Amino acid sequence: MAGSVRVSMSVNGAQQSADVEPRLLLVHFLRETLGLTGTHVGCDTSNCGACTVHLNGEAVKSCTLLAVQADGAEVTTIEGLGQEGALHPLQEAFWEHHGLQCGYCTPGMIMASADLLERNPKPSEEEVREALAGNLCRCTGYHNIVKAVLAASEA
Amino acid sequence: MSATAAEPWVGRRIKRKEDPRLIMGRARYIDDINVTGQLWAAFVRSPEAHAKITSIDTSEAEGMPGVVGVFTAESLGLAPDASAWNPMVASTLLASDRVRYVGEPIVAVVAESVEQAVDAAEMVFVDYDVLDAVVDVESALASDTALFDSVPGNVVVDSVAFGMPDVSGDDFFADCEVTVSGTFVNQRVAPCPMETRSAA
Repeated sequence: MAGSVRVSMSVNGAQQSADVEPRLLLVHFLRETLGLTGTHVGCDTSNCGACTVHLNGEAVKSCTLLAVQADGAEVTTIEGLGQEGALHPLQEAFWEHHGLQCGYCTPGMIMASADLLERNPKPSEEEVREALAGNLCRCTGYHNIVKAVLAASEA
Repeated sequence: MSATAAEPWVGRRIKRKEDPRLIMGRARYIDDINVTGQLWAAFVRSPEAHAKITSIDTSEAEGMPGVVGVFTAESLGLAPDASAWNPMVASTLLASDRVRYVGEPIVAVVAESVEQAVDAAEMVFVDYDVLDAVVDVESALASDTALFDSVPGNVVVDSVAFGMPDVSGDDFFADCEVTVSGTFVNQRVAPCPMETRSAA
């Protein structure tokens, strides 16, 4: 492989290592190398936020990071947020309040919202909309997404 | 959960059945599907809005690591494909002699990894004779540049030919008490499916 580098990181609590090209984006490392396809690529411009994951507890756009930048870090993806039978309150809320239609932006929306609620457990509607400014949705018009996040904050 | 006379389906609030996999990141969109031995395609696309293609050099790309094939309209023997709605307008799926929009695909590079496909696509060299871009109705009607040789004057649909009355002269409106005219601009609407049909 052209110029590979060894990266190691904890992903959803499990230690992962691989030889990667330095130019490999974190989103492709997660999706292709690790097979965690819940994180999505929705644009070429860093606008859409479908690739949002947590890096050391903070929401980041994984399309705008290299895998090598996450070396030694703790990464959480949508797959690590909740499981069948033990969904995260945000996952429950998105389901309950119809916060998704096609579902493509949803993992990114949930990860960005999870970061918001960590920092601001009781946000106002405006604060939710502000925090999700980096996440685009083509289906819902955002209305039910905001409702879902506010509902999760009450849970 | 079933319907009863007291609680019928109609009017009942029902949670979607497809949501669990979507909210857990377990859905399978096209790019999520991966099979052993799959190949990847990268496309060489036109940087010009309107140009004649004078040459396509794929020789260097063909020799690059992991490359399984480099395909053009010529190598695939593509015949022009007529649009169902505009039979006068036919072009090959990969551009052959002309490109008519920025991004029009010209060469398909197939390789064993996405990086190899992208790297090889960068080593395909296409030469262009740039032509005037004709990007709106007014300039298309006024321009000497025909976008398709089979469509003189760039008019593909003339409503009169379909039996509609010719309203271009003054006579048609001569008896009207009031005539109102205006130019209304509506953006082009191009519905795009989120994903195409695919199978693995």
